[in-house]
Amino acid sequence: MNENLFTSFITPTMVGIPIVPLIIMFPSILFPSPSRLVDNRLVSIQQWLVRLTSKQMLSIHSHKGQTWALMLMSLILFIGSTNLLGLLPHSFTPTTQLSMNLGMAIPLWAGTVATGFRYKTKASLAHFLPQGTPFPLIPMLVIIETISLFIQPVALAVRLTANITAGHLLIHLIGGATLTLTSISTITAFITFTVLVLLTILEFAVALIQAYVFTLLVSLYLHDNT
Amino acid sequence: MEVTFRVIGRAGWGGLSRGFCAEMLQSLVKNVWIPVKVYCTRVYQEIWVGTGLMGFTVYKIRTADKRRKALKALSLAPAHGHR
Repeated sequence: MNENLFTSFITPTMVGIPIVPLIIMFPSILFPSPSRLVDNRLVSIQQWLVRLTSKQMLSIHSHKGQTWALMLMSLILFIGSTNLLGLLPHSFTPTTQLSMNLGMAIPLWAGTVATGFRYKTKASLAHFLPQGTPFPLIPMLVIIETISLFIQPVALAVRLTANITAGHLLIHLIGGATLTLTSISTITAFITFTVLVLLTILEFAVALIQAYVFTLLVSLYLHDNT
Repeated sequence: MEVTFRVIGRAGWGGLSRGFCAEMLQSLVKNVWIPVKVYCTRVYQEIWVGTGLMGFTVYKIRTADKRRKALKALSLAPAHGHR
């Protein structure tokens, strides 16, 4: 049973060749590019959603921060679509892999920090010491702020990994329990099935919320540095 | 499809691989690279720095893991040899 629980997180291979790159590139097929002045319904809905999200997310940014619009919109679309596709039965979710999420978090976080040091060096260094700190506490607070800075990409990656992995594990566990209980007690199986349906609805919400949280945090780190 | 038929008509099945690849590459450059060139080369320079940092971290973790496995194999080998 333990082996069955974690087999869905093993990176899939086909004839010995890992097919994870294909799975990562797959969601891009689901977003057709707008090619006309007035497009079809799907593309129009996609454009409307992207416009809504980008307006909401980029309204706080300066001119420099708004150059990251393409990156932030691509990020939220990629993570959201990958998470949602992972809710299909027997599919592999790349965002359950910590390596993948660290691979997204570290370059983006480092990019925001490097942007801050390049264009606003004094302001970026000033972030290491909060305003109004008592003199004796300065060394300790600088250390604490440095640690909190370096923990940001790790927290970003682990938050996404843990949320998606935990959700998938719970669905797997409760689904298995429902199947087992059908032969033992129908009423208990029905209650467990109701819990499973509610959990699946929650996982749909978590999939979108986690994409939004990841992108929002990257956007906030960028805002602090621009 | 139109592209495939045109290329086969020109140079047979050998031309399919070379000519088709060349046309695909040209289409890729025109439709993908040209629009994102400014972003990749100027706007997101700092993200490349971050990518380099991540690559360096991955390299360090991989070499440390290889070293650990090599040391483990070495420490096990004399133990087996002295039986």
